[in-house]
Amino acid sequence: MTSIKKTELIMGMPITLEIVGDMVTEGAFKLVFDYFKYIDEKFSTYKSGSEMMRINRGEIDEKEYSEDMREVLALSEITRKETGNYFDIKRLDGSLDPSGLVKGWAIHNAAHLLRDAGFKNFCIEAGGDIETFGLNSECKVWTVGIRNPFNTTEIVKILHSDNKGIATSGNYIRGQHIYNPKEKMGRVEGVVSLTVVGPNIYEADRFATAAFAMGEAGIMFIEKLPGFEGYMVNDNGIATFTSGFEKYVK
Amino acid sequence: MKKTLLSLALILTFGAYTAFLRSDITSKLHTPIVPVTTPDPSPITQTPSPTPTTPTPAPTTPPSNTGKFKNGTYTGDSVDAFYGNVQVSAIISGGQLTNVTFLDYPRDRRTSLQKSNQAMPILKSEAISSQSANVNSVSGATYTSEAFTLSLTSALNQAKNI
Repeated sequence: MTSIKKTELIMGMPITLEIVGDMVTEGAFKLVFDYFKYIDEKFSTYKSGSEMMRINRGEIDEKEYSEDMREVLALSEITRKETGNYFDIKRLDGSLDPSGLVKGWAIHNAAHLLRDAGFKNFCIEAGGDIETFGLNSECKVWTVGIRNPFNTTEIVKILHSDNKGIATSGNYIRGQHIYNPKEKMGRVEGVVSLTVVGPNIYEADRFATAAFAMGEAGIMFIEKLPGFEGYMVNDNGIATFTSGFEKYVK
Repeated sequence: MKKTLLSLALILTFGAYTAFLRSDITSKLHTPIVPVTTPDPSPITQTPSPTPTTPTPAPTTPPSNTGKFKNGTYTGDSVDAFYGNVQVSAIISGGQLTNVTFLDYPRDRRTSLQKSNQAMPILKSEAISSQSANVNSVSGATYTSEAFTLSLTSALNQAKNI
């Protein structure tokens, strides 16, 4: 099957869409990329004219919030409760930053737009978070690699994504700590990357974000979540994964 | 390597058992919780990994050739990482990069206060190893690391001995 793949830089990150099929149009790509631009305009915590920034400056009354804003704030509140406060969009200064949820939510919504437009085989990736639908150009289940947190040109795992969402939370930075290869095997603590496979990217991303904030306990949190699997890499290069994770490994 | 893996497994197992005895934080979470089956601390399965990659640091740090950089502290550019800005400062001593400090980094993904080892017997572990890269897409936290690399690169550019 033929496929077309395009990448645009939106929200400060590369967003890649690959659509498989004979009837793929330019309009399908525009639909998705325009949606991400709209999300950026609304939720950006950098663009002073965004609704999020205006809310943080107290310029908009709660009754005037857009429907999307209400939904994101409500979902953030649900996620906060579900993760024992590990996911919290409220910053220390009292302002709101829902970035940890908006990306996955936006990818999932973009996938819905494509499906509503009749596309059945595609893969959307935004800044390392992925949702796949249907099959790839070889008419097989989409394959997704987990990036090596110590070497961004390498992958350390190959997964099958059968209409799943795959998100990685990571920060090769933990506070003031930087990975020291001389200390290999020397320390057990310190998560550098946590990949979560879930029923869709919205679910995978928000739980990856919260579980990453839990440190080493995060992988156990994913273990206990029905329908989710996780792969955690710590700063010794040791991976710990959930009991059902291997069913996704190619 | 085998010995270290084995001892790591033992440490993890013991840590898991003690973590289980103390009621750990995950049991207090308000999520649908699948009960942990048994308190028996059976060893963590070690998937054999014949050629574990030696993890190399994300930033492109200079090799050990001396005199490549001028001694001093150099501040890199502040780089937008979407979740916040990343800005690092590189410390050069003896002509080499000896330390990197973070002047700014994304803070919404809060550092955990709980650092106890929560690995339970049902979890498995392995040393990561490089795979052939023929995949449709790649999942990873690219933007943060790229912002980090960009900031560090700009700091090191200032330190170059030409």
